[in-house]
Amino acid sequence: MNQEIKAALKAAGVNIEEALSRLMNNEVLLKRLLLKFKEDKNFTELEQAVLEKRYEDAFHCAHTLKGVAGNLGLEKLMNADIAVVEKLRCQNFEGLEEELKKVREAYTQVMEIIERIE
Amino acid sequence: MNRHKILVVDDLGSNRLILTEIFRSDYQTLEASDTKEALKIMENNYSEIAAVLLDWHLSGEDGSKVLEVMRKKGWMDHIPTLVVTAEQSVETERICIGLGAADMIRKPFDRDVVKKRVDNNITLYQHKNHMEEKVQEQNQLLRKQYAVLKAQSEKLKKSSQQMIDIVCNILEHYYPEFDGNTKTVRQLTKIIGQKVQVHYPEYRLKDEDVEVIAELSSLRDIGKLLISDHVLFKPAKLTKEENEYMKSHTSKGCEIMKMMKGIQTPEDYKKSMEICRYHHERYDGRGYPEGLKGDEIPISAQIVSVVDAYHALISERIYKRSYSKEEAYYMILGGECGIFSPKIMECFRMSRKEIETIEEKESERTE
Repeated sequence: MNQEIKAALKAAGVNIEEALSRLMNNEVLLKRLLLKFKEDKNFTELEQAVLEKRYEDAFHCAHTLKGVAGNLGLEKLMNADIAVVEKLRCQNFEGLEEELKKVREAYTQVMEIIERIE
Repeated sequence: MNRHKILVVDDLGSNRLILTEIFRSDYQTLEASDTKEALKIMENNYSEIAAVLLDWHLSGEDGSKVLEVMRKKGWMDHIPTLVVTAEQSVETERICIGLGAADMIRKPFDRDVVKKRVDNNITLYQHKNHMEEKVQEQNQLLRKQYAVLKAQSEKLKKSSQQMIDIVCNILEHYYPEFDGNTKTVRQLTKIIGQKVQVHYPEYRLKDEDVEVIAELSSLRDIGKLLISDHVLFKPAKLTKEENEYMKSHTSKGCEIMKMMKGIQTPEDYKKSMEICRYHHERYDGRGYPEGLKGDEIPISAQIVSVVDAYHALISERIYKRSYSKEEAYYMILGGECGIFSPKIMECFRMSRKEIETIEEKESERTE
């Protein structure tokens, strides 16, 4: 990962130091995991489940996404997702769309950068 | 046991990868993506797994099944399970710990914290496992020592039995009154003792108590060794003074038994004293030496007492002829030869047939 990507990730709310520290400073592994995150279906499934009002499935997807994002240091995405998880947990669906929108923004932003990783 | 593997259970490959990376330098990691796989790996590597890291939200299920099976199979006692979850709620923690999880790790986790937590739990369980092994060793040792002690106490019992047999032998040899007495008296005592044991549990007699009372019954008159021959063998009715002197064989018997205290167990010694001292007490309180009444008289002495009376009747003595078994039976029942408790009388009645068969066998053998 070059400096430009790292700077972009940082700007997109990714805590690279923390993620690296969790991975014993193995940068190759972090890169692998970020690339792997592209295949992670939890976000798309979360959106689909909310659309179809399958809130229990939505909760599980949001929850898993929170764990993955947390592990990879995707803090902005994780924090946005926490709000969704908590709404789904209490089955308080008021304003769910707005919170989900914040997750989508963070997800798209970070995904755009990951796409650029070679 | 060498536990050097860590099992990581997570449905997401990237999560497994991160944990594997953290532990790679110290442990061999095994990976499972669902409950079934996790349990299968545990089954196959049970003795090598040091810890399990269990993601709580597995796709389609939670980790509770894994914990339940681990508890049921007893694996949980030896392998710590640390639940990994992005869940912040106390409720999940309560559930996990309640199901037997050793600790919780929250996602996103700090590498050092995870490592330290896992290490701490592994150390703790290793100590625990080690202690269990130690306790088992100690238990085995204790069992061995108990066996040795038991053998020694058996030996003591045996030598005290032999000693009593020798004394009885001497008695039989030197005193015609004792002749043939030992075996018969022991058998009679055993029969009646067993009846008391079965029908009157309030006396709390155990098998071994009956055995010991039977064995010691033959020593009831050992005090007669200290009675002068001219009184003991006087072929006529004793004077009042001589009779009182004769009665002292009960307390004199105790003095002799005191000399044997060291070779008997405390319980046997107590019974010896009871039998020697109280086998001439009467249920109505008019016996000697102390005039004890009813159940003030120890049960051992009550049993030996009725045997003594019966046996004296069927034996020939220097001052009397021998009575037939039938005569003796009715004399005892009629209260002509001692007064006994209704319970003892009932046991005596129940024993009639057995008592008379023994006597026949006995006489057959001597013929």
